[in-house]
Amino acid sequence: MSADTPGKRVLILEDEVIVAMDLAQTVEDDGHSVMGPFHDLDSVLAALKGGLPDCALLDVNLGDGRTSEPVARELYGQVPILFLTGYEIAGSSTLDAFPDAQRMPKPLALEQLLAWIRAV
Amino acid sequence: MTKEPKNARTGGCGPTDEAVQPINEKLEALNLLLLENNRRLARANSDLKNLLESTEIATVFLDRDDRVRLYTPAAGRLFDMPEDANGHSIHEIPSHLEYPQLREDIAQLKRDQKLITREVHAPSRQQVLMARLSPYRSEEGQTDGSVLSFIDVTDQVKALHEADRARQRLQTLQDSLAAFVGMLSPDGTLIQANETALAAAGLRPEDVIGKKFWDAYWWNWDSATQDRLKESVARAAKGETVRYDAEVQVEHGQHIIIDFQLVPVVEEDGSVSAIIPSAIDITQRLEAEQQLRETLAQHQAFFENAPVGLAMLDLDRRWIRVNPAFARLFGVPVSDHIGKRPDEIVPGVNLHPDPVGEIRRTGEPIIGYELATKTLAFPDEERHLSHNYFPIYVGGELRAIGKSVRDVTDERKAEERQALLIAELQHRVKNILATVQSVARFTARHSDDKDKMVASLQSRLAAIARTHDGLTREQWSGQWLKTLIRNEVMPYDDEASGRVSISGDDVLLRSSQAMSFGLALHELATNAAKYGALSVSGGRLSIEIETDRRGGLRRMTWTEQDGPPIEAPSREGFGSFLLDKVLGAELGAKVTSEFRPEGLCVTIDVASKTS
Repeated sequence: MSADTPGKRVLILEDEVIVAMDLAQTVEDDGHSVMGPFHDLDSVLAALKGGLPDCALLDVNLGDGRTSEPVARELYGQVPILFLTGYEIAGSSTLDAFPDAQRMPKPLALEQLLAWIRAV
Repeated sequence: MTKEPKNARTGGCGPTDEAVQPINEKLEALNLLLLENNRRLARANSDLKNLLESTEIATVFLDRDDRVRLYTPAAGRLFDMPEDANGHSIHEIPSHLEYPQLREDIAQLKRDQKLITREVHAPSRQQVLMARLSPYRSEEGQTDGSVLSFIDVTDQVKALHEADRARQRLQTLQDSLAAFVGMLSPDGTLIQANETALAAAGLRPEDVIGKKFWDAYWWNWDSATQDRLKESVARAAKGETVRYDAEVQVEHGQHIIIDFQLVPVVEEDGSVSAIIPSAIDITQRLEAEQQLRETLAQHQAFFENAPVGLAMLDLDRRWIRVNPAFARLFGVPVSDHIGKRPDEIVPGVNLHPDPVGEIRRTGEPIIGYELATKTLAFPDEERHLSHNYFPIYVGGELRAIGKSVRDVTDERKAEERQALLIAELQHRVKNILATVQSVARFTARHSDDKDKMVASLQSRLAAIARTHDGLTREQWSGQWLKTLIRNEVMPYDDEASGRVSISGDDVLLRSSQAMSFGLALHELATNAAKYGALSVSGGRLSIEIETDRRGGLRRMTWTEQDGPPIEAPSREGFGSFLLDKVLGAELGAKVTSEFRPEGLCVTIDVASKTS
């Protein structure tokens, strides 16, 4: 991480544990701190009661038809959101509901992702 | 003008006798008698003259040398008689007759003494005459010349010719008819048959005329056919007209079907004088009818059996035809449709508002008009119906509107399923790529050099692929834990050798769990094969599975024994990271690794963390 940029507190919600762990490691390696990573809605909603992150990386589709929409609703307008998208029908309406949120397709281009975190 | 021939009987007699007076008296009396005779003769002559002059029959009396002796006025009109014809040879007198054989005929008459008749023409007078040549016989029976008479038969001959022509025309008419026609006597004897009837069977008139009709070639091929004809002729002979279809034999033994009729000829007194049989060949018509019936039956069956709904609307927008599939689709019997409008039959059913009007306006068919609707057949469930409407032209004129309708609900559902499946597949592919990306980066973080990293990455990708294969086989419903274990451990050993034992009930893992579990087991197995119990021949591995009451995983232990001595690694490897962090998070489990002297022991305890 660049010396002149303070580290951000980055919320990570991703149901694939390996991917979430890797993402967390990558973000930490860039000098940020990770809130999570979370793999399900309940745990992240509970954690948000303790305070908001600087930005959020939200996997849209959390499996079994669930999406990260409830979390996005909590954060939208207060915290910059980057949706991580596969090719999902279940999540498309979710994305439409948050027009100002950014999105990034999987597999992730990590340099761009880190640049986004630094910029927000 | 008649000239009296000299009467031989009245002249030239009377020897003179002067002897006695009485003779004179006698002579007186005789004279009186003679006078009376003369008077009678004159009368007879006059009668004869009147007869000759009044007759219209041209008659010429000739003497032995063919010289004219006497002729009637009518004869004077045929021959140009000179002033004093008497004594002129008939052959020298010009005539209006075309009769070059006259001389020969007279000669023959003199020879044979037999009447000769001949038809001769008088072209300039447009007359036909019957010439009669007869010998002239004297009182004594001697032949003394000839009598020629010419009777005007122009009218009779004309009438005869007319009759003949009429008969011929009738014959031509009969023979040129396409129909078979003939005539029977009331007893069934064939009197006449037209050429058509004869030619059809290759017969000559003499083959059949005069025979009983039923014995003729046409009928004699079958006794039942003959019996029926016999019985029908008997009925016709009583005045009845009989008509039926019959099978008859024609040329080359072929058979045809005829529309056969017997009509009696009934005289004024009610008697039947003849029977007219007639017939036409209806074989081709019957065949055509049969073919038409067959074609119609096929079309009908096609319509009835078609698995799509087919129907026809008239231009007043009323159903005129509806097939059973159509009726089933809407839950209304076929007969309830006919004559009614679509909206009268099933109110509330979602249909094209006015296909007839639209097609009349555009002339174009309406294809694939799809609507979701409930029908009486499916009152609780919306069905997707695809309607086609098309114009039916007959002879270039719009007669009706055809309709076909198909229930495409299942197809639409299948399409939706397929779309979901494709989206799901895309999602999984992206997830796997993301997983691969992460595994690659983890491998890089935990590898000391590039070669080792490549080798590790390859084997890990192979493990992912194996798990993926298993999941695909199970259609991504999950994966069995024992299958995962075998996939990863069996390359190094199998249960049959007794080195590896797997015990406990099997557990079905969710797809996401299976991926992490597969990778973790891969790391454990690789490690055991490199450094642990599976790296030496005496080493053993036992895996125990414990399940909860619902069949879920409660605990799994991985116990290596009799391997080389081991010790805890100096830093966390990818294997322990997977076990502790990933699997722990994925399963919600507490994972404990014990590096015992006799071998590694890993416990994955789902129960303890959730409790």
